[in-house]
Amino acid sequence: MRTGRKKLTIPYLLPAVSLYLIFFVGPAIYGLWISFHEWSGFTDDMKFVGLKNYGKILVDPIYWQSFLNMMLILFVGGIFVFLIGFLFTALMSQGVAAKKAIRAIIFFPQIIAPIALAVVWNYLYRFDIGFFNSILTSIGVNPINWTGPNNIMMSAIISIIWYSAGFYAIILLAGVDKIPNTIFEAARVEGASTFKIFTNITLPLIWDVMSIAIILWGINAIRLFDFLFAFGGAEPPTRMWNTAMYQFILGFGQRTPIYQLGYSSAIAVTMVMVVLLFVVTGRKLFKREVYEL
Amino acid sequence: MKSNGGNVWSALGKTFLYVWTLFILFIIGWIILASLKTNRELFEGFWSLPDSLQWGNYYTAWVQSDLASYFFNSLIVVSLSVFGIVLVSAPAAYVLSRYHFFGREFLTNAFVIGIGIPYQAVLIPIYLLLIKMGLINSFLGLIIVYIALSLPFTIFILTGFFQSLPSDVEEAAIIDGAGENTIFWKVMLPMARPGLVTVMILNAVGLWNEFLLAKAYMNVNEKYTLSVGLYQFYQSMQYNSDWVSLFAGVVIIVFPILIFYLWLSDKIIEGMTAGSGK
Repeated sequence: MRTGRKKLTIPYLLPAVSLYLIFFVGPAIYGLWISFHEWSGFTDDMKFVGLKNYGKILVDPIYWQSFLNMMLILFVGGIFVFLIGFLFTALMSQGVAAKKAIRAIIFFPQIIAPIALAVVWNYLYRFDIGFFNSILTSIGVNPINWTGPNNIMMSAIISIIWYSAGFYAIILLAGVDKIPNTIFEAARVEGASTFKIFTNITLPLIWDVMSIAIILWGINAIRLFDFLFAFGGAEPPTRMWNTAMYQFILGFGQRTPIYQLGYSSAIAVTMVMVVLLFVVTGRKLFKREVYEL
Repeated sequence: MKSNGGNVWSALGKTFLYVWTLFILFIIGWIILASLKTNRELFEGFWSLPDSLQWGNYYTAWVQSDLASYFFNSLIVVSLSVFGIVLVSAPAAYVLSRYHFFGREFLTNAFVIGIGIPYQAVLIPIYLLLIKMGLINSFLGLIIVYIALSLPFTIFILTGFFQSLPSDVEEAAIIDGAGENTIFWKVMLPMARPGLVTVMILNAVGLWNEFLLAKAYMNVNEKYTLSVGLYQFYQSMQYNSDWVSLFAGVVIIVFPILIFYLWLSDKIIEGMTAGSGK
């Protein structure tokens, strides 16, 4: 880096900074402003109501149902994604047959369009001729109503785990692959068990990668929208809305628009706060001495 | 000391990993097969096999259900967006990583924070802005939004790349009397090519699959992107249960990604994991 060169600073930054200000920073601030108003969007009069929308959130059962679903994806989904992720990482770092092919295959669901995934998974869950019930009936178990109102959220989370776990496994694996093999060999010579090696060597050495992966999962899980929205079908039942879906439906409608732009904006603000809370807590929890290789 | 118990667990784990992998392949194979059945065959049961391959389903999806035009809409939007993203991000990332000026760190952080902001926070305000600008239901509008919202992540990755470039080539060019523009376009940008390729791939895949913004800002049939078009096609299943054509549609949206992936899987995996592992 050198001082003395200046000519390009402004022209090179200007397009990015102005786009960012006009289409991201500005809208984000304006969104916060809208959240203090009552507004149907059609009439021009935005009515200032202060914190009323936020008060409404506190007593809105649909919001808290959606909040619960968001948390279920974040934590229940997250626990399984990382359990499976760690399992796969541990196995693959010890060497499995066709490691490269397996790596490529388990990663792939992550880059399939979520709408396509929703179509397919909904079909796999079909009561009459779906994949899971065809297996269940063939082994003499009663079929399950996977996408019935009581089960649909659980089924959605299973699918989300399915298309996410491989991706997070491979992020972790990329961290493990950076650890020199000699360290593992030395541990094995010393007689350490597989489990010991994982907890005492691998885990501390991929701590940073892991904490970033968990924070990334958090951001993605909180804003998750497309898969769940399409998975719910034409009229997704309220019980399976997460906060992102509720926010969208209030602002843009499902079929019958609701157009509560102020309220919808307030809900979006709460989502930002949840992300911030998650990232800040996550960074605090995972902060510790970094082991340098 | 390896206990037998450990081996059993390891074997169980491996079995689980293999089953998981095979299940993914099975699902992909099943979708392709389902897209070649007749609707009657499809509804015979999950395990039914087609008598003959119904390529006509693809004609129905592609032509009659308009997925062809959605496909090309997506192609235009994604390629122009990716081009725009690189054009805007690369110079900014270059200056942020290799120049010294007041506010550099603040600006870098301001971009990074954008990575964590959920799009929901800007969904309605951008909608209003696009209406004001007359850019709702317009490819240009969607492209500008895609470029703007991709900046944080792209600049973040590219800044890392430019920082890792050695400075001796740059200094040699300065001594040779090359202008600042020349140094960027002719010296630094070519050296950063792997980084540029990475961000192009990641953005292309991400935008090809993008749904939320396209759904919110494109409300007319002829402007749908492929993921929105597929969603609407899926919604129409309750009136016409032409599921086999819907599955053809699923194959159509996944196909370009699959080809891309077969060709560049290492690069894609590397890019996506390095991108998040930084």
